[in-house]
Amino acid sequence: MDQPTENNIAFLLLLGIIGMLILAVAVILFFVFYQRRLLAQQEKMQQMELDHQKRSLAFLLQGQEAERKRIAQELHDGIGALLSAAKLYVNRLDGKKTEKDLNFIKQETGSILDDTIDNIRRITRDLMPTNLERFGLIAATEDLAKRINDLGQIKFVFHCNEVRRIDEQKEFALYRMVQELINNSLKYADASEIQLHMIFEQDHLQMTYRDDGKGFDLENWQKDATLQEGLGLRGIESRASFLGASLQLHSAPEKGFSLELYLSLLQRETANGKPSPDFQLQ
Amino acid sequence: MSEELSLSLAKLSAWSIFVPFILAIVFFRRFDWSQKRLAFVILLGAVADVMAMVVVKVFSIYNNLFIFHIYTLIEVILIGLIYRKVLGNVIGEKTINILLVAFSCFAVFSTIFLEPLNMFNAYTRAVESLLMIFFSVTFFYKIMKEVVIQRLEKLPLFWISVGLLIYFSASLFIFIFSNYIMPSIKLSYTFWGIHAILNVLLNLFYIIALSVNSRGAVK
Repeated sequence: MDQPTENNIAFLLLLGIIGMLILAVAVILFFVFYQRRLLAQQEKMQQMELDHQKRSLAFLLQGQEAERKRIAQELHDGIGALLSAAKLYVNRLDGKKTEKDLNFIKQETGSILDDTIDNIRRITRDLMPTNLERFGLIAATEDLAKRINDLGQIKFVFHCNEVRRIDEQKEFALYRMVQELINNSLKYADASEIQLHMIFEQDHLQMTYRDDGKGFDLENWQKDATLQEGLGLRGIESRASFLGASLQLHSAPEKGFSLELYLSLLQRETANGKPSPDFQLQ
Repeated sequence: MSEELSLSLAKLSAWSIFVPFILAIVFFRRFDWSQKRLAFVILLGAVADVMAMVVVKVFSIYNNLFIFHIYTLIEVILIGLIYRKVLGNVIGEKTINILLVAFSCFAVFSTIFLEPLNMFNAYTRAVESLLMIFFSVTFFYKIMKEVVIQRLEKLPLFWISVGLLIYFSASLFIFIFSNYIMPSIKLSYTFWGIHAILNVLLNLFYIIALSVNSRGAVK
C-alpha cells in the first residue's frame, strides 16, 4: 500500500470514527434531554390534574354545605313556623272553650298539620326522590319533567332511548346535575323550552341538555370565579369530574345553553401507579 | 500512533475488563437482573482475554483470532438477552429472537465461507455493531416514549446502552475497514490503538452500570 493511499484511508477512517462518535453522543444527549422534558411536562400535567381534583372536591363540599343550609332554612322557615302555629292553637285548648271554638281550633290545627305534612313530603322528595331510589334515573327524570310541564312556565321535552338502571351513585349524581341545570334554566336563562336526551349505548351514556334561554358568555364565565359559583355550573363540573365523565359546555349571549356529557358505564379502574413491568428492576 | 503506545493501550484494554469483572464477582448477589446479565457479558470478555493470552503464551499459537469468532457470537446472544427483556413490548420478543438467530446463522456462515477462523471476523463484527446500535437506540426510544424513568443515571441499562452505543458506533468503521487496516502496520497500530481506547471506555461504562443502585430510578 503506498503512502498517500494509506494516509487517505487513515484520514477518512478517523473522520468516520469521530463523526460516528459525535453522532452517538448527540443521540444520547437528545434522548436524555427530551426524556427529561417529557418527564417535566408529565409532572406538570399531573399537578394540574391534582389541582383540578382539589378544586372539584372543594366545590362539592361547598355544594353540600349550601344544601345543608337550604334544608335548615326550609325546616326553620317552613316546618318550624307551621308547628309553632299549631302549638299556639293547641295552647288555646282549655275547659272554657265552647264547642264552636273547639271545632275551629281542631279545623285550623288539622289544616296546619296537613300543610306541614305536605312541606315535609316536598322537602324529602327534593332531598331524595322516591322515584329515583325505587325506579331509577329515567323514572325520576320523567316525573321531574311532568312536574315542570305542569307548572306551565316552560316546556320540558325529555327523550330517552332505553329504560335502564345504572350504578346508584351515578344515577344520583346525574339526577342532581339535571336538577341544577333545570334550576339554572328557570332562574337565570328565561328559557321557554328545555330539551333533555339520554342515549344509552352498550357501555356508555350520552346525555345532552339544551335550553333556548338568553345564554351567557362562556369564556367570560370560565374566567370569573364568582360567576362560576352563582350559576352552580361548577357543581355540575365537579360531579362530572367525580364520575369520570367528560363534559362539554356551549353557550353564547342570546344563543341558549347546551351541555353534552359522556359517561362510561363500565367500572372505573383505579390507577395503581405501578411502573411498566419491563422496568421492574429488582 | 507509535508501536509502544499502541501496545500499551492494547494491554490496558485487555486488563481493563478485570475491574468490572472483580466488581461483578464481589457484588453479584446485590445486582438487579440487568446487572446480573451484564456480569455474564463481562465474564465472557474476561475469559476471552485470558484465553487469548494463554493461547499465545502457553501454547505458542500466535493466531488467536478464532477466539473472537466464538466471543462475538456469545457476546451478541448475551447482550441480546438483556435487551429482549426490556424491549419485548417495543419490537417484540419474537423479533429479537429472530434477529439473534439470524445473526448466529450469519456468524457461522461467515466463519465457514467468508472469514475462516484464522482471519479477523470483520463482517460479523460490523453486523454486530449495527445490531448493538439498533438495540441501544431502541432502548433510548423506549425510555423517551414511556416516560417512567425518573432518574436515568440510576438505571444500569442506561449506562450499558450509552457504553454500547459509543463503542460500537465508533468501532463500526474500524471493523468495516479492518481488511484495509491490517496489512499496514502503521494503520494497525493507530486504529487498534483507538479501538483499545474505546474498549477501555466501554469497560468504564460497565463499571458505572455495575456500581449504580437502580432503586428509585423508576417512578
